[in-house]
Amino acid sequence: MFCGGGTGGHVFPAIAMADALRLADPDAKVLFLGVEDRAEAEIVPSRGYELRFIKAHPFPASVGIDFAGFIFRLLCGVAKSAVELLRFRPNVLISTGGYVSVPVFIAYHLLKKAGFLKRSVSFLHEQNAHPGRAALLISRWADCVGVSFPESSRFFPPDKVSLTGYPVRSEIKKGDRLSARRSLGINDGDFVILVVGGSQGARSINNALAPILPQLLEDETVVVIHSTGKGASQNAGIRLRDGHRYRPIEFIKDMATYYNAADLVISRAGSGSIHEIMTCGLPSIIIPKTGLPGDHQIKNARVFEKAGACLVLYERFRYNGEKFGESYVDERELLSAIRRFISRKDELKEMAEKASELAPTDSLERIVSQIGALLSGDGVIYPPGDERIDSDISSLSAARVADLLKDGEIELTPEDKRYLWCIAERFLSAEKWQVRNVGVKLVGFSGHIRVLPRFLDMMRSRRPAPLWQRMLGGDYREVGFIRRNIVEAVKNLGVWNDYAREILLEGLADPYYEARARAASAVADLSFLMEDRDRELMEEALLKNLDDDDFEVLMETIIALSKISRNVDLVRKFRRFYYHSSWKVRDAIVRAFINLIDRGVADPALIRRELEELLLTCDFFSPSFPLKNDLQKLIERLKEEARPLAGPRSVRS
Amino acid sequence: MFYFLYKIAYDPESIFSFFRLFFYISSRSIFASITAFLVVLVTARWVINELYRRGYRDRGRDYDVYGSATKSGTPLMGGIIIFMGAMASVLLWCNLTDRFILLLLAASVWFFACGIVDDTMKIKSGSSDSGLTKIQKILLQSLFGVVLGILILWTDFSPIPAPLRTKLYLPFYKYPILDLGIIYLLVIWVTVTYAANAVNFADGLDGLAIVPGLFVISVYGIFAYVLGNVKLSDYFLFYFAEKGGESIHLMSGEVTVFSAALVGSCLGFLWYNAYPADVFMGDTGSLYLGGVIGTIAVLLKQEVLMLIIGGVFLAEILSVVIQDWIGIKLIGRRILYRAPIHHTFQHRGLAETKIVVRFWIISGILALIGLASLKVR
Repeated sequence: MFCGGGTGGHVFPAIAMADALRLADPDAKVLFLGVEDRAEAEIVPSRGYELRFIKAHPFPASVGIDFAGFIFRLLCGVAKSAVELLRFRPNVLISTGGYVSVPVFIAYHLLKKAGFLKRSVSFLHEQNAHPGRAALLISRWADCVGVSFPESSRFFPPDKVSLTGYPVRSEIKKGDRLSARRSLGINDGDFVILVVGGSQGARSINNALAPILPQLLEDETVVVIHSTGKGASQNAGIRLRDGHRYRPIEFIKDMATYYNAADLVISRAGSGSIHEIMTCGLPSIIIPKTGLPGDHQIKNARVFEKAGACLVLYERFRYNGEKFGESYVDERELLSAIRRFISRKDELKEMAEKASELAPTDSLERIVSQIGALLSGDGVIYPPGDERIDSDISSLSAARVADLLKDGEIELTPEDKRYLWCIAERFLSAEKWQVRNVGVKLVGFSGHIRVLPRFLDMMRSRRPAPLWQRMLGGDYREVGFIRRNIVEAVKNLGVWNDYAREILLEGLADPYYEARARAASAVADLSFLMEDRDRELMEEALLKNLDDDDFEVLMETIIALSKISRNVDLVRKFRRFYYHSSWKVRDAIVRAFINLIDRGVADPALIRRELEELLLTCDFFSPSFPLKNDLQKLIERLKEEARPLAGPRSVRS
Repeated sequence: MFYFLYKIAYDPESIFSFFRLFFYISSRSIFASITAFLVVLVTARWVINELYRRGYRDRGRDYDVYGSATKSGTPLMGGIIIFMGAMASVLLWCNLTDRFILLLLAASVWFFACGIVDDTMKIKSGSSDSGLTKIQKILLQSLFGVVLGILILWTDFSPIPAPLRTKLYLPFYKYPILDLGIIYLLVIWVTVTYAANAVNFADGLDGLAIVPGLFVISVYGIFAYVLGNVKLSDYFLFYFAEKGGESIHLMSGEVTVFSAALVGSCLGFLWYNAYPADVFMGDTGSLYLGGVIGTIAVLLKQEVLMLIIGGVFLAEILSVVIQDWIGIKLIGRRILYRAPIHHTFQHRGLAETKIVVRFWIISGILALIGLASLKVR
């Protein structure tokens, strides 16, 4: 008995496994359990398998009205599943994840506890690098969990994981390129780009493809085959320009032929699509869909990107004023990526080879023998290796990544950066300020300069926070931390342009003291990049902040002024702080004097006179522990001694 | 122990006539203080070395990270020292059949144990974030608060006379303002958990928690003496169960001896904890001190007074609530520079010693204001 569905991503591997099991044991009886109106309702019967419906409901995001419906349907689903389980009495219960499986596995578990179904086993197959919530939940009841990626094994009980790989449909295999092309009427020398959007189609890919098609087809040898998804060919603005060289197809039935005819695939990062592409050994541009549960498409894509088997192109976010972001594929990025592949055939070849290496060739055999082993009581026969899978930043929470970057504990590869840009852009459009704030931090640490216009909008937005927040002392929807961190991000980005200037000007006049202080410090940091006109603007804004009540703002303002101003008059303006109650402000003046002398703005004799007037007491001192000083010296010494010793010892062993 | 000696062997005619010293609360209090102080002075060095040797240190055993200007490597769990001194002295000098003392002993042991568990977990895992979770801590404190409340309000074990039990008294006012009935349980629970957490937050700089704690305990000790003395309590108009009624006495004299013992051992601890500290009290000390202070406040029916005399603790806990809960979690900005409040002063550039001494001064003045509420009623 099979369960699992909701989307094609869960159904197709189930079908592939069913086919393989039937091949191995022609007497095997197969029954699918699924939900009405979802992908399985159409696919399963069309493949000649029996399908029965049960009730199920996705996990509610929060405890609310949804929750009651969830519980109700779950109970109905469990009852119906129990009936079906007792009627069919399966020897093997197989799930491919998806929320449909939850009631079935609960029923199965209860029945087994109650002493029924004694001789049956259960098998869960996880297709993605990051498992869904349903799979995580039912993995505790399954006898064995087959995984497609070694990366996902850490989510499951270690003694149950079996590294089976992804069950690619048996009809998809590497075939003869020439005969495939001949059957499609394509010349041998043409460059064939196959664009697939997964079982649900891909609006953002379609939208990006439409405007760049003419430019692509300028090259006489390029042929684009486009699987548009249902009904999408009309509304995507795609017109048939060249019946021969652009072929939109609603749904490709004979995928294998098309794969084998293709030179380059552009696809979503569903586990099925990716593994099929690898099986056929094709180079690809993978465009993961963002915002899916656990971002599993992004994680799938990154696994193959790390191995060099594909190029990942992330979706971007568009902002329409106050509205939340909408994801899209940047057509210029897509075009340049495709053109790079067309012009550099060697890269294409190398990627194809890497893809072939990763191809899950014996997955179906593995799954069949694993299930056989379970039935004969042999347990897991493909345990994942012990070697630690080096953790990817996508396995950490974004907030954690931001913290690690802040402490300088990780370094980013260009691929990591592009991944973080995608995450950051999406976070910037989140409803909760905490999430937007993480997005802002990530932008600063990953150097995502393209976001600056958006940052400026956020700085300028005077959209009020909800009433309850304002009653507690909040002000705007883009809260103080966000504005502070935007300023901080501009400082970290280290670029100077009109947006950076406007953001810092906003920051200097911000109602939140930390934003003003950081903005002043950013001005000081970036002053070496500024033109004279910008310096004047900044100086004007900074001078206003000399009236600030906050000592931190004063400190940073004084330092920043000393770095950009060419006006000796500045010294006179500092005079009113000579007896300031905070020594930190007076200390800032001393540091500012150093800057002014260094820059040749102020005459040393003048500064000497000014010092007569400055209160030079300080409420702070930093003591040190002599024993610990000496301890540090000793440790240094020990380290020096340890080095020559280590050499001979390692030689001997 | 000495109290029983008096009970058994006192005879004005015999050579043991000086045993009467073991009866008076005043003399026992002074002896208790001195005993606790001496016990701490004699044992502390050994305890500190033992703690260090066993790895109960700030930042654990990795001496490579003991920076020359930081306090990392300082032994934690100095609360053990306070506890040992106070316990030894209480066992020697208090009337151990007194129900006030039994409840206070229970509070001591409970909160001390909570602190030990918390500190041990932190040290074992090598991170200061992985002790008991906030919720676990609050649950453990609440459990004691609720049990204490039930014992005091509704059982015969309660040392508080029945007419006073559920009445809420405010400082500077001689009559109860409200009869809260069952809601008084809430007051007790809040007082105990508030005190334990407040002292916990205040324990951040050398000597910052111990001295204000010492002032609070001293004031409560004086209150206990006044309340427990029939003449004095009549003179200061304690306690009326209702307007125009007769005064009812709370026989809390033994609490004075207990407080005195605690003050002595706190002084002994300060001996070692004074800047730069040889030992930190850790949660062992702060939960223990806080829990005991909360329990004393409840037993003397002077809960609200704690907000005044423990004003430093109030500021610490309020600053955390304002900064972390409202500012950082909800509205997304810092309201203060840093929290708890002593970090704000550090951020402003004050040296640790200066902050600590200023906090001592403030808590001393607040203690005086609290004492004034004896007379100004």
